Amino acid sequence: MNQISEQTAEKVSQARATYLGANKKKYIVIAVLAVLVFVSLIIDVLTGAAMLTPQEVLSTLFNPGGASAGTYVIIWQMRLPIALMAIAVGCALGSAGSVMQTILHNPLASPYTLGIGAAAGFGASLAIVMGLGNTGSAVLSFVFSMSICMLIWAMNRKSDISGGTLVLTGIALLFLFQALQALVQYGASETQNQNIVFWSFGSLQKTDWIKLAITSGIVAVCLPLIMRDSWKYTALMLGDEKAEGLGVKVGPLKMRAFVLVSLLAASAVCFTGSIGFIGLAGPHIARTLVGEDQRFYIPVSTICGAALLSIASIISKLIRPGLIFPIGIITSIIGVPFFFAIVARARRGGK
Amino acid sequence: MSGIVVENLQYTYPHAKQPTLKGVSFTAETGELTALIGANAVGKSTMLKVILGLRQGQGTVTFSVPEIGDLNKEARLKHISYMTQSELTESELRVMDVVLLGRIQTLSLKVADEDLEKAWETMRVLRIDNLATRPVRALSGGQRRMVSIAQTLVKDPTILVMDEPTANLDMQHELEVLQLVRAYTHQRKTASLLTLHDLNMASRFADKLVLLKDGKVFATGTPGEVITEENIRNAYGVEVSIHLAHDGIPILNPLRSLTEQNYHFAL
Repeated sequence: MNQISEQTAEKVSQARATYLGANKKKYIVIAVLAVLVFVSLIIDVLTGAAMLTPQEVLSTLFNPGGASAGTYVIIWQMRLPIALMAIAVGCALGSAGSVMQTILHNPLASPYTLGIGAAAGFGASLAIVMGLGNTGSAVLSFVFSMSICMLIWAMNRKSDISGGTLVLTGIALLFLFQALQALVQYGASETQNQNIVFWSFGSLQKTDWIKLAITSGIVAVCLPLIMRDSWKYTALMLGDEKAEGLGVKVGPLKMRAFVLVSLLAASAVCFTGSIGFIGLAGPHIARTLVGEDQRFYIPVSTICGAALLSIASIISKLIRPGLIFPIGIITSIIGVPFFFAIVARARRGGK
Repeated sequence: MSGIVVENLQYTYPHAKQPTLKGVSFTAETGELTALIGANAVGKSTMLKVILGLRQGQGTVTFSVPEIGDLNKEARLKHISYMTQSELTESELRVMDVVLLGRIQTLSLKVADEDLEKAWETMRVLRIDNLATRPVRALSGGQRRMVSIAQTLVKDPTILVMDEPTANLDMQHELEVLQLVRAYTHQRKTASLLTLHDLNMASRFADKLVLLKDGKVFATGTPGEVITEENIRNAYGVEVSIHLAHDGIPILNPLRSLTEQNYHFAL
């Protein structure tokens, strides 16, 4: 009898140690990913069409006054803001995707699959055709992506449709906005068309410090607000009814989440165009790394998004030296294998 | 009277013509296990939700215990636990996290030692502490129920509300759960309100029964007072025979449904 209870006691202290150890490991995952993002940022700044040596880049970074005007512009007006924008947009898409997947109970929810990117694209092409310029297209795409978020939210609230149905609705909206964009393109001039096509590829190249400030500002405001509710999101993992039973006000929580997520997604796509799969792949990797405890899942998904987009930004410059591929194309090409992996995993998990 | 005092509770589902609850009054006393019984769809689960304020009904519910007093709705939640009927869904969440969620009102981003200790203590008492790091998806049905119960008790509630805590459990687990809830109720002096579908279990474990029929309390009192052949026939539409166990608890033996037709299966 004593022996049995001793064994149990040992098992229990083991369980305690395992639990605390597992949590420590998750902090390590966060730290490692943060380092990865930082390294990727440096490589991103070091690479580019202008064949600058690492020494030139570093001296321009740390001593801007001593650099030639051309090098200064390349580093401070182009490479650095673009590289930082990749991280900010990656953070926005990664966190938006993770929260969407949690509140919709569906691993296929993301800013792209719910049609938010397509709506932003439609808004931008309208602005281009109307000759509203860069600011106009950012504003219109922001407005359209925000309104599609609100539409999705309203549909989620009005009827008790499941997360799965909602993702289908999102995909339907994706097609709708693509068709509407095609309609706009049909009536557009050749130059306008070129601009629209370029926009819809998704690209970081039009970044400047102001856009970077807006996107990272929105991330910096929204993310802490999301993290404050992280235990409540974890409660949602048990199902809406269980969460309600625990005392979580599920309706207001989801409303809050949707507003924040819409802001994040819109702030990303309105400046960079439609960049797919970051919002899908980021959360997926995060789930494999740290599980579904939202205190870890959301930040890890955010950093994964940043890492993925930053790495994609490097790849976009390396494919053909001297040429920068639109990053949206790169992320989709990386993203599709992920998509297949998710589907395969979901099927195996369903057993 | 102290406990959960329910007076003239009424509730109509949105878009429904008939009210589900038509003025229900009873008290679930502190230190007692009160079981709500009644036929399917009589509104037992609905009533729990209305009592907890998760559905908006008419009438008054008073949590007349010193810990709650006149706390506002938000602050009350620290003392009220509610276990829903739904099973824990498949997830990668670990048992420890699920149990911790029972203290969601006090949890912060970095979990306080007090919350962690309380969770370990509760899991230890329920003998599931060895499961702490397992994901929910790897647990059996019985284990999941114990995790749900740990989640319900981890905040030291003074008001304990459980919706069918024994549904889908085998006999051993069913007895274990009810023994545990009964012991908890008597030792911690909680006002415990449970819905139960198994009348023999209700009869054996509840201090008091509230039998619902047509949206009203049909009978209330000790199991000996409520579990009678006549009450059961009226509330459930079935014929039963009842005898007393050696300790005086009524035991019910179901015989037949009164709505039974003469079935003829054409071959």
